[in-house]
Amino acid sequence: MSGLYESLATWLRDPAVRTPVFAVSFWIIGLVVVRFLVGGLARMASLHFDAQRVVSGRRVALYGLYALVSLSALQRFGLDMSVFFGAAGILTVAFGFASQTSMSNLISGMFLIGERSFAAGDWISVGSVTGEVLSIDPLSVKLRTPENLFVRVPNETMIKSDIVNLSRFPIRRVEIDFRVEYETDLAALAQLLEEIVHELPECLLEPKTHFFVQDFTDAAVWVKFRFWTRREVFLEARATVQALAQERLSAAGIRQPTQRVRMDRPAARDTAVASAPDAS
Amino acid sequence: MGMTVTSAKGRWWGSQEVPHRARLELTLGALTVWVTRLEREWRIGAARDPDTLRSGASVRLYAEGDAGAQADDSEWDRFAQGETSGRIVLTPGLMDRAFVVRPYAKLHLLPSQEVIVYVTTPLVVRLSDGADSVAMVEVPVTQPSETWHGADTVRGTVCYAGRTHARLQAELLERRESRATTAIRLHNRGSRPHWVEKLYVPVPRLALWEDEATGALHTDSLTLTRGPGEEEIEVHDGPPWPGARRVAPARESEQGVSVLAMMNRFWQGGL
Repeated sequence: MSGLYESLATWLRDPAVRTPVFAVSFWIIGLVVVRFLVGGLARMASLHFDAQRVVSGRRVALYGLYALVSLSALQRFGLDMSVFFGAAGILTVAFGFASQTSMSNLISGMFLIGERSFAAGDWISVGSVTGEVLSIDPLSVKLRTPENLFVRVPNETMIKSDIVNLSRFPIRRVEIDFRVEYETDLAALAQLLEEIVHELPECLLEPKTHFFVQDFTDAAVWVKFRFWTRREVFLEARATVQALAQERLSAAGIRQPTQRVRMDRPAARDTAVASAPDAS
Repeated sequence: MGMTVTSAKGRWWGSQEVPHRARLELTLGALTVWVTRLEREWRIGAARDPDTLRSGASVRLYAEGDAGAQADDSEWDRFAQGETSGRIVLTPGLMDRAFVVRPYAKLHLLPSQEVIVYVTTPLVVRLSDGADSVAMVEVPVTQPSETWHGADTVRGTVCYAGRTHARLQAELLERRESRATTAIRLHNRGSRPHWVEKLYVPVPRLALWEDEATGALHTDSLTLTRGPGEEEIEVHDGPPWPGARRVAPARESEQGVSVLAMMNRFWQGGL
């Protein structure tokens, strides 16, 4: 056994062996230490910051320290770092030109996280996309649409776009349009809709409902009815009120007119057409 | 016809023995709850009468095949366990959200005056197996409408909405076994009459107490004080009168309830 140690020690005394072995050992131990250190710090940070910030901070710290440990290991390996940094400078310029978009996304991502307009789990609308935020990553925001599609929106696009956060506040206002005949008793219609809101537990009694005429068109009066509901039941409250209103309006004899267009051909023209000579 | 097992003074809660395949029916105001015991499961169903102002409470036990029991249907919830204990525990509780109650008639409190207003809120019925303290189900007596209470549409909370006669004398209250009474001491320290447009009753913060003399249920009492430029709400933890027996603790403890938030909720979010 002592012979084995002796030969191992002799082998390690050789600089050609010792340097790479130490460099590789340093690199492996360094990576493990960094992983545990950053993991512990992330756990501590999670007590004070939201999950998205912790994940982003953890990534930056982890990859930054990995790079430092790797560079340090290369130095121990005997690599001349001044040459490396010289080459890195040139590479950085080339890399910078090539990765303008990525860098823009990365910096936009930092602003997005700092601004806290939304967080993972919120429902947002960006441009034509509406979905649940799955994650806010350094380069992009990942969304899941109601159709269960995965959408990746670059952070640069997010920064430039109008974002509507549908989950920010606990209550939302629902708007429903109705088209009724000119002869309709609007006060009775308003009363009927108000009763529906009082009847359905998912509709809030306050803030107050709002009923008003929006437009007078050739065929109908357009009225708008607004009520409030909890954001979690927004869609079902709207659907229930719409269905119940349709039923109640029908029962109350309030008709929602459809526009009909009748085209009459002038009699003189008919005669002229009828008496036209055969061109064939 | 079934055997009535309600104890004296309309006290419907407590532990009840339910033989195998028997059915226990609790009628509490507008609510009827059925419980059937099988060997490895409880079946629990509920229905509500449209008349939400119905009063009265009764507990009836029906043996298997007894006439008069509600017909079985598919609306049962089933609660499975290794072996049912043979006893079901009925416990009253308060609702899971605060109430905002508006007096039917406009109530104004004159300057430097102090009155006690009595407000009632609906109960929930908790059902648990006799050998297990965890409630299988919690059934509200009524399903109240919801409302928003806050200074604006951003800051505030979703509450249940209610109406009240805002009685100023306890003896004028109509006895309803399905509701608990909250005594709210209103104190106007201002120099002008105050219109009490609505009252915020944080029922999740209140414990439930029994008046052993009458069997009526009361909550912890509240004091709402309005002074020049200041409003505050205070919950009085503890028996509303000496010797009152607590039947259910508060859902939420006082810890974490911001005094400012409580103050803000009172007097229409005036702060």
